[in-house]
Amino acid sequence: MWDCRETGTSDNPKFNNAVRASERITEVGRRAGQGFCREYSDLMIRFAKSQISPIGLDLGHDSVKMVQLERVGEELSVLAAARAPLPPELRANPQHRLPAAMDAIRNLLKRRGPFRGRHVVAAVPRDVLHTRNLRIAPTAADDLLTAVKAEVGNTLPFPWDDAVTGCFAAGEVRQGGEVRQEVVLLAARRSGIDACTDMLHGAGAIISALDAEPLALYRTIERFIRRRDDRRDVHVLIDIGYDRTHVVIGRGWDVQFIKPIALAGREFQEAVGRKLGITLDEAQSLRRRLNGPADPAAERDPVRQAATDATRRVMEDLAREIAMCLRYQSVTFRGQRPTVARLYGGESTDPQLLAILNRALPIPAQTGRPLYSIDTSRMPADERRGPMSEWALAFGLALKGVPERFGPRDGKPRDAAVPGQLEGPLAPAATAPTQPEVVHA
Amino acid sequence: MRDVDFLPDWYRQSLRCRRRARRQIGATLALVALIGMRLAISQHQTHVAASELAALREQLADAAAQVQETDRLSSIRAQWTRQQQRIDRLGVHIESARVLAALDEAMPGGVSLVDLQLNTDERPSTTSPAVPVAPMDRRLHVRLEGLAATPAELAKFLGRLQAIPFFEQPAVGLSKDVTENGCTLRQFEITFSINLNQPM
Repeated sequence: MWDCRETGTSDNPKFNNAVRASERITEVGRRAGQGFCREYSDLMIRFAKSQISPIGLDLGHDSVKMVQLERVGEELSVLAAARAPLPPELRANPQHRLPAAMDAIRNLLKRRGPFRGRHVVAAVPRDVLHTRNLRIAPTAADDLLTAVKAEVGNTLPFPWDDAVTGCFAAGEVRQGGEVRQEVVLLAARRSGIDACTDMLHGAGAIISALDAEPLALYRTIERFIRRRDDRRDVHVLIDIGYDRTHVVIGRGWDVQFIKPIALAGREFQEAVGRKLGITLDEAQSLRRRLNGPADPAAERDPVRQAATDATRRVMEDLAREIAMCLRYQSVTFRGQRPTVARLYGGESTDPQLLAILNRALPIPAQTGRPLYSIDTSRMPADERRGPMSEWALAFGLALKGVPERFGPRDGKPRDAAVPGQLEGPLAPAATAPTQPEVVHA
Repeated sequence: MRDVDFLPDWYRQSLRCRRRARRQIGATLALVALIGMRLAISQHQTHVAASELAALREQLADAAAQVQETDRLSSIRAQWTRQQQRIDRLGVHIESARVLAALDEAMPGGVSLVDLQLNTDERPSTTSPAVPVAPMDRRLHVRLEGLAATPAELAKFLGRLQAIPFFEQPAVGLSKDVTENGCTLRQFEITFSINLNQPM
């Protein structure tokens, strides 16, 4: 950035205006923090080089979402974003859904499309990825995979030699007076990976990386942690999609725990469908309508009551599973405790689910806003409504191509960083909130 | 955060191969373009050189023709020089018959010649004394003796001789009346000279 204050004053009115603008920015920034500076950043002359990330590609059940980021200096912004809904009649059958999704990707990656280049970072499909937390004797980082292989043996659902594996240490734990090392193992069948690669390549994408969904999700938090104090904070991310729910818990920059849970949107739709005698697509449409803005008079609507009753049991089961994950983390790892659980994915804005989670979990559950700390002005206007929590995975995948870390817009004030407590927008309510609040990533 | 990448090695290798192939194709195309450009430049240069050569050949042909003409002129000049030297040494040859023919043409009907003397006079030129070997001044002195029927005929004959440019200074040396068989005739003597230094 060009700092006008260094050059003094001049007779040139444009120069003096620039100096005054710079001083104004400095003053505003000192008082109000980084958020205000961004509004005035257009007054500054920008010399920093632009860096464009690969496209983050989220191949979801209902739609294909793609995000491309641009970094200019310390600023990160969405360069382009697009969502291509899949036809409802094709969603149920993977044999039809995947070709439709590939067509959608091909259309979005066209030369005159919104994105620059065809390099994408995609996620390994959820049904292909196998995750496991395990404990082994303390091992050097170079020998970790060998030790994990010896520990896991043939307990994976596919042969080890036929798998693409990766693992990382989550931390040291005590087990019966013995020090053990907690390790997170990620594995996928090689044929599944090859099929996914072939499919995406056939759609015209040049794959820069195939990431794991939990890691991509956690990257939406990790890339916005810079201060040493913030590295002690524990973050709980719950991604509730259609097929599966992922619970990801990490401390600072490191993921400590990943747990896939086989209770997700599909089970909610099935419960509603069974209760009301309708198809899954109809159940999904009904739930989407019921989860929208509702007037108080509609609370006693018998259909709403029936849908709520139908999904309550499944949601309580899911909340119980998530609570067990939190308990495992708190028992396994010492230190700071999480203060809030962030919900992402298509089901994250469901008020009934939020209410159930807030009752069942020891910490408040709130809908995450993964894109809160970056400039989203170039996203389509209709995609910028609400918390945009369904963009978390695509955003996290796109962040894989951005190695730098950025300052969060909702970070804790430097002098108010008290361990175990969050300030400002992240502060949890003292009691379980009756209305779910939005939490910022 | 520790990253795990599931992208298969074969795909990375495939991308690398594609990149390498693209680079090689690009390099080959660039090389072909370079060679083509070089060929085009060479052809252009050859074409320009051929044009220059043709122009030079034309100039050479012109020069050869000029040289030939110059040679011809030189030989003529040499011939003329030899002639001039010969003339300088011997003087211009004038045939007596031509002199007689000129006199016959100028002579009126009432005039007849009784004597004709042609004498060549050679003496060194006095006009260029600085030259070591001075050219000779040659003149042919002509002396005529004849009879005219009347003085008018004599005057007419003299006038015609003066009109001939080769005859320098025709002058009557002697003119008197003589009687021959009862007729009075005019006896005369005319002299003039012809310059033998310059060809006529």
